[in-house]
Amino acid sequence: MPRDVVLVVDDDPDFRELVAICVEDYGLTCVAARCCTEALSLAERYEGRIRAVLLDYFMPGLPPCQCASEIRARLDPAVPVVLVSAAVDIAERAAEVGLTCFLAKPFDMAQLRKLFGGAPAAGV
Amino acid sequence: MSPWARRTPSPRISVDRRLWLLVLCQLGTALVVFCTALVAMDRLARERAFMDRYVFAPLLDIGEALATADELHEIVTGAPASSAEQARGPLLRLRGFVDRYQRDWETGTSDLPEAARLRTELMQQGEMRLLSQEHEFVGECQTALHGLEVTVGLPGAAPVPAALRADVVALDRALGRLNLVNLRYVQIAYRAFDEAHQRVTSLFIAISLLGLAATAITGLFVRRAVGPRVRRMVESVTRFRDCGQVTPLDDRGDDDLGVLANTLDVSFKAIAERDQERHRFLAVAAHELKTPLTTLKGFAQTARAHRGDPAICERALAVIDRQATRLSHLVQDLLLAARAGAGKLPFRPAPLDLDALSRRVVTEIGQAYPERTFQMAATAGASLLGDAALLEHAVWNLLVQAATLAPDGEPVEVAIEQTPSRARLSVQARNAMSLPEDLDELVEPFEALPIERAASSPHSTGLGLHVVREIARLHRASLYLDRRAGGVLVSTLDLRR
Repeated sequence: MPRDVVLVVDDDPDFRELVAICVEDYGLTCVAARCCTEALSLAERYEGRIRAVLLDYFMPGLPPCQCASEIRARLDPAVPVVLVSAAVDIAERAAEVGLTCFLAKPFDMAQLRKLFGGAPAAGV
Repeated sequence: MSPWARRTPSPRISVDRRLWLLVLCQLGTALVVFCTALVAMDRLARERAFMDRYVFAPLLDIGEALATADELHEIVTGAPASSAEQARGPLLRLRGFVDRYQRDWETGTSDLPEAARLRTELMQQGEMRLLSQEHEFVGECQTALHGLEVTVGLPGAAPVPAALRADVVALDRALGRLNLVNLRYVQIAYRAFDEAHQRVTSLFIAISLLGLAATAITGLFVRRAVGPRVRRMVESVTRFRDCGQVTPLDDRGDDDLGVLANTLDVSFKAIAERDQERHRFLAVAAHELKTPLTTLKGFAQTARAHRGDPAICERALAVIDRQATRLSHLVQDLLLAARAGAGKLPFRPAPLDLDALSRRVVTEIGQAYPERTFQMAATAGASLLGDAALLEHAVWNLLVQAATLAPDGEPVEVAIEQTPSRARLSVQARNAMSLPEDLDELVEPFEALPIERAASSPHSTGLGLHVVREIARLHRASLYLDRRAGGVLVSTLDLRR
């Protein structure tokens, strides 16, 4: 089964739309969740197809740590879960929720595309 | 252990009391020196009176007696015819001297304090024999004088020159010896005076040294109470200045230093809290500004990458326009909050129509947040005096706050009620969030942030309602937050007309 789905979890509809355009340009499918509960549901539905997850820090529904660990528990450990945040201390926030990959806002679209092209490096 | 848990042991005796002790010590020393000086002056005055009465006066008398004896000697060695008559005067003066001296000697051997003291000093000097010698020499004077009186005829027969001369010589010799005895008295009295003087001087030196020692010890006592505490304050201030690290002094002393230390602790804590709030403000500001910037930048790059696709370009421009509007309001929130914090919020009141102003804001926010519904009830014009720019911003913030708390699809409703003296603008929407029991907490800076950040709704800095309250204050207006039936939250801006 091809890994052709990118899951974006963010409460900002414009951001979700932006990621969707970028992902679809890359020939992939974007599924978007407004909250953690929706994200868990989508993660279960697209379990074998998810290529990467873009996760905001503050998500309604669950605390950040629990949200991240619940999503990771539903996915293949090889699937990168990337924290995308405008927080000043994003590295600390990523470590706090147990993630090694993060993308600081604002970013270039090229940086975003790198996430789908292969396994991203820590602190993209 | 929290640094605030550290304690500075308070001195058993406070600095104030130690300073009082130091002052008392100095006052005590001064008092003792003053009393000692009074006693010493009295003692020296008595010494001087004693010497005048018992030393110098007798010496002077003896000197005069010697002169009289010389005069008598010249008379008896002169013309015999007039010797007896001429000798009467000197003899009478000598009689007076000898009798007076005899009385004084008897007084000197009496139980009077001065006599006792004289005998004591003689005894101390090993010169008790002087008293008997004096008595002996006075006796010799008496004998020689009596002989002269008899010879000269006071009363008596005609004078015999040879006998006269012998008696005068005997008298003269006796007076000379008496003089020597008195000179010895002078020496003894001077030694006694000198010893008294030395004792007084030694006493003064001892008291001064004791006073100095007591003052020095008390001074060290004070320094011991002050020094370490002042050093701790200096170290704490230096550490705070250089590293921004707050080390609470927590001085439990009840003196002025304790008050100073507690004031420093409170000030440090307040500065640290303000510093933390500033950092928090900057972090929140950066976060909230970067969020719309991400969308702006992303859609700008997307539009450039899809120049041939009018639909995507149009959509990108619409998002950019909307996000720019939101961004400008966020920036305005931050600026107004900063100015309000400094008490420098600009206020330029002018006549305005609140109804028209609110409609403009509702239209604008509808374009910025097309996914939300904003409705305004029909109302007549509500004219009042206010700052249009600030009130537009306040209405915008109230609408954003309501939209943030409302569930998706729920409308945000705006209404204006008027009375002759008031104009009340209320914004209401159903609340889908868990709010604090005390709604006033939402008005505090950043308090609303966790709620806003948790919503899939318009973002703000957590300063929105805080800025509204500051704008209301400038207008002498009030901001109320009320819960109503059905989970509806109403924010009311109550303005004066």
